[in-house]
Amino acid sequence: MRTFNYRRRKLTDQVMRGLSALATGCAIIPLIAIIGYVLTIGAGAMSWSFFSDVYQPPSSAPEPTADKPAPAYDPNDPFADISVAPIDAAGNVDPTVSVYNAAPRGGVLHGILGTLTIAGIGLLFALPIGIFAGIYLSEFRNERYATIVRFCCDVLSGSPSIVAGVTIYVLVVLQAKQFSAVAGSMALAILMIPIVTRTTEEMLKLVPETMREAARGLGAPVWYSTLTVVLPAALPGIVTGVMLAFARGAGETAPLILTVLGSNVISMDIFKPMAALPLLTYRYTESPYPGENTQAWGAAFVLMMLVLLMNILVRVATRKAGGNSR
Amino acid sequence: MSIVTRKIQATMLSLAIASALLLSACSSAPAAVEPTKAPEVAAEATAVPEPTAAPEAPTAEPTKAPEATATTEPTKAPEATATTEPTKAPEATATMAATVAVATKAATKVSAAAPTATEAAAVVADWAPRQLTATLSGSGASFPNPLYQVWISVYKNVVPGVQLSYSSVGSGQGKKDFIAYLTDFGGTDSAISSGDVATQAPDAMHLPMVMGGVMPMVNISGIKTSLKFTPETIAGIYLGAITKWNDPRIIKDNEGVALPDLTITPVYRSDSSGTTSIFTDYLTKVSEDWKSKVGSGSAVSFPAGIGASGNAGVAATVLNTNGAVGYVEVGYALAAGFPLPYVKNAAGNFVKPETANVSAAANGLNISSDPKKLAMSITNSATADAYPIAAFTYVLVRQTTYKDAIKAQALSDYLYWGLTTGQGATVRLGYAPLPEPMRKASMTALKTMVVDGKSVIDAPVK
Repeated sequence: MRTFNYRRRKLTDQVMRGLSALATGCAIIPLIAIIGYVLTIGAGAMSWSFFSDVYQPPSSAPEPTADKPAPAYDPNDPFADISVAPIDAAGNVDPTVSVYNAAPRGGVLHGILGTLTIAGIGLLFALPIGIFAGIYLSEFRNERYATIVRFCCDVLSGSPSIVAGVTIYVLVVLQAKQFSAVAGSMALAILMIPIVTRTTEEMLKLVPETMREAARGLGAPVWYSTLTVVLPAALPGIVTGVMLAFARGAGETAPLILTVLGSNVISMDIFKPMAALPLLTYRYTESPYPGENTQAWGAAFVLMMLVLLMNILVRVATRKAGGNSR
Repeated sequence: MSIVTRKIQATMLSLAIASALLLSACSSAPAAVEPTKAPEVAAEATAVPEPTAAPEAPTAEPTKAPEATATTEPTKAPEATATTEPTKAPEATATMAATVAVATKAATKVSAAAPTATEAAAVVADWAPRQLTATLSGSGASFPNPLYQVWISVYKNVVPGVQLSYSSVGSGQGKKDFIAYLTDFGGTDSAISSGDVATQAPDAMHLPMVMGGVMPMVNISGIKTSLKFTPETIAGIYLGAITKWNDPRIIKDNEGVALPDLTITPVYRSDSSGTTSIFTDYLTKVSEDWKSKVGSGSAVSFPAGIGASGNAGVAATVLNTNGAVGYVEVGYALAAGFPLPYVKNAAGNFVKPETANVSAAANGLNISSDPKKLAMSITNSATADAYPIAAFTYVLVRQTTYKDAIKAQALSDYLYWGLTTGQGATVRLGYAPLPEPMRKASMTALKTMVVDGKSVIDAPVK
């Protein structure tokens, strides 16, 4: 009886542990598949010019090199290097160099700069609101107003991103009669605020009550202890939340379609349409040219790497600044 | 979407050879036309002697030059020809202005290298866009997007100060953005509905820019030849009346093709689209059944088939579905390496959607002299070699309500350039250039654009 019981329990343990491991595996598979997929296909688009150049229309002409520079602009035939395919004197088309199968040209520099600008400004909007709201929710957590704010925050974080896009489209874009990068930033800020708020709150809650008491005991007012004791202790966690918010914003496409419109050139005027990596990815997948389809994967890859890089940079920076916290 | 894209790419590779065959195949028929046409168009576009005052913004030339043209311009005078032929007047202005142009070093190196004005005019355009500084944004149709992107990237070399952007968000969205004054210009394959024009965009002008064709793209595994369609079979398939590829009505037109006993899956656009508008406009003209049951529009309720979003979405769905047929802009099928089909036109001939045949659809058009009424349907053309599902694609501009004169000048220069030099790129990218009367009508309309009552472009209609 006893051994049976033990065996049964052991079996249950093994089965359940196995199922859990399986579920974990299943959770990781999409991640690995996405990264692998984006890497393998996006790698086809990688080159120096992909990072240093802006959009170039597909062309069957070879990419200019140092010893074979691009032909000078010819006003008589400005489209000399752009054609479906070269047509020889006999009127035959060489399909192997057809523009449809031509290698990708140009790059996504405009998208990289655009994404950094739009998401960066979005973060500027979201940071003060989010962090102060987080402090309020954590330090004055028992007030009734805080409960309402917390609830609203959760609703906001669960709302679809397109809703933020439509809201800003109606409130800002239609009023200003202008698609603009800053409108996109506002839409992204709507998505970022609940993330920053809730992580700030959670991180501040983790700071031991004894630290606050110690600060008060030494005569520090609440604002002083919050700013100099509680916040620094929770800083790494807050930074994580901020990075999450940045990643969420940088990867959004839907709100940008309605607010930023997109551009094929480097435009740094935040009151004008601007390029962004998710927009480029979206538009390039719609392109009839295989070269641009490849670049869509490339742009997705760059976006992932950009978020990762920002993440690492900020972590290194805060670790140095924040000293020896967790 | 991701997998779909991947599949497209995979097929792209595997069909590289097929498309090679296809391209050489389709070049064989129009080879006589296409290659000869390309240089011709290019030559014409650039050789057009366009001696204008070429009003360089900085050189404050006596403003009477534009005024002079403005007065001589009225054009109208549709002589014997029903089209708005530009009158002789511009020529008079032209010669006068040519001297001005040379004097003001308008065309820089071009005219500098041409001391004898007449000779130079034969090879080099004397008209040059003004060197302005402006930011212009537009959105709209996806079909002309590859061409517009080429124009924009080349135009950067011509006028570095003008920063243009065009986003291919679809005709429906493009029209909406334009009406809401969110963009400086729009792109669309279908005209703004007359009701919307009256209430929301009374000064909108549809300027035809290029022509293109919509074709049924067919995926039947094992069959790589061009199928032949009649209006009846296309309507029958999309009405759900013809459900098998070996239906006698299809076999009748395709003798010698081993059509299998396979269910037809029609694929249509689920989003509001100019392509749908062209396609249903055609079906409404050729099929009474279609007219009464479905009708035309940019988003109609299709009785049969499955929906997909965007030209690329339809192409991808067809690619992945054995037995599917979808209507797409020609370029998308070409890019996927699919054969161009034959469609029976109004004259009873089976024609492919090749450049010359698409152009032929605009033959004998009765073009309105009202610059706001240039949008017109050219489906089911009566011309003998015309491809029946063809259309113009338009740029939307405002006739009188631009506020910023510099912006309007930069935009009109760009569009004028597209209607002249830019036409040289059309054939090379698989589009058809505008027929001469329509191109001139488009330029004439462009010249009616005013800001605060002042004309913004002064260029000959040539």
